[in-house]
Amino acid sequence: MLALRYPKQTWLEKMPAGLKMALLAIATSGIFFIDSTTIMFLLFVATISFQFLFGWQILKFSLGLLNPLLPFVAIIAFWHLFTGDLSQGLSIILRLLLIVSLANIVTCSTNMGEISEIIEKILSPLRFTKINIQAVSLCVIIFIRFTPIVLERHKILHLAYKCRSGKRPSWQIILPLILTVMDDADHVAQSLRSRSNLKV
Amino acid sequence: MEKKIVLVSLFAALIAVLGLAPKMMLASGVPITAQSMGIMLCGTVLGAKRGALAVLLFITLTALGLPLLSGGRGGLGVFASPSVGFIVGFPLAAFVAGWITSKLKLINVFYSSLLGAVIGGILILYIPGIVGMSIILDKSISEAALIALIYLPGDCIKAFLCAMLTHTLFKLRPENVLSRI
Repeated sequence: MLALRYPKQTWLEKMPAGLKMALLAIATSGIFFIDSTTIMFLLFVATISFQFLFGWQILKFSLGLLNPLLPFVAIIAFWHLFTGDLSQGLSIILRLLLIVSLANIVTCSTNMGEISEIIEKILSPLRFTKINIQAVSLCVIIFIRFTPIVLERHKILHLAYKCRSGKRPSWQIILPLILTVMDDADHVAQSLRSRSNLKV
Repeated sequence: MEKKIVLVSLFAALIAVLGLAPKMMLASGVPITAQSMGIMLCGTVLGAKRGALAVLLFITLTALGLPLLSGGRGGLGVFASPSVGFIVGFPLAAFVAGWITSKLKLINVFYSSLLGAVIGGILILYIPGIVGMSIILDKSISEAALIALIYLPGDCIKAFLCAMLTHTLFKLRPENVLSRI
């Protein structure tokens, strides 16, 4: 499934998406006014503990989502170790981890459709412009339908290259991948022209 | 119209796949992800407008919660991370890369796309990228620029590969390089 969701259902999913996003906006803005590292640390521990309430599996999943931040954490830590201002470094690291953890809670517990509805509401004034809403929806559908297909094709090209050369492919398989995407674009556009009633 | 919609959607899918696929190993043994090269390719192959739209679609769906960024990142959290400036700057980078490639039709496609990828995908992209890092990491602009320098060698390699791929695609199927039509 192509979505960032918790591995199992929680009561958070029943909460209205609008409320969750409003709370996230308030919390994110509020965090920037906190100076105390201790309070920030306690809030981060509270956020992690809150996710632990849903089980070990969810906590492990949530902590995994913070992995991409580790290089930044290392850079900030090293930087402040060098400048000698460790408390400021710690404060930045905690703020970063806290905000991203809170945003991840909202993303993982909210249906993509619900978030999309909110974004549609926010973007609703665009209806009065020349933007073709039908075309935008079609783009989203084609994207969601074709991403797993293009990924699968990438895997096949990867394997084919490995079989023939005995080496792990690098950039060499990108061009054939682009060519297959171009071919797909021709076929899909032809099908759309003959079957859809897209208003130009 | 249909072809335009499909190309925008499929190139957005291509950016996602380049980020989800295993990291590329360069001859030096340094691993790099091809996602930002996908952004450059959107511009140099599709042209300014279509390239920027493909990237915009990709970012919107990432914000909606799809784990499409390299390393399986996605959702609202990425907009609070230090790379926020780079992510927000992606559509502008693709637009500038495409605009330069399409404006320099008189010179060889390799050089025009290399210039497009370097100016759009590196120079222009680094401006919001550094500003974003400076705000999130609470650093001055010069300090954030120093941190961003880590990405520079990898991005130069990606710009070169992007130009090479665009050039080869143009030689094989000139009608597919829409920035040059």
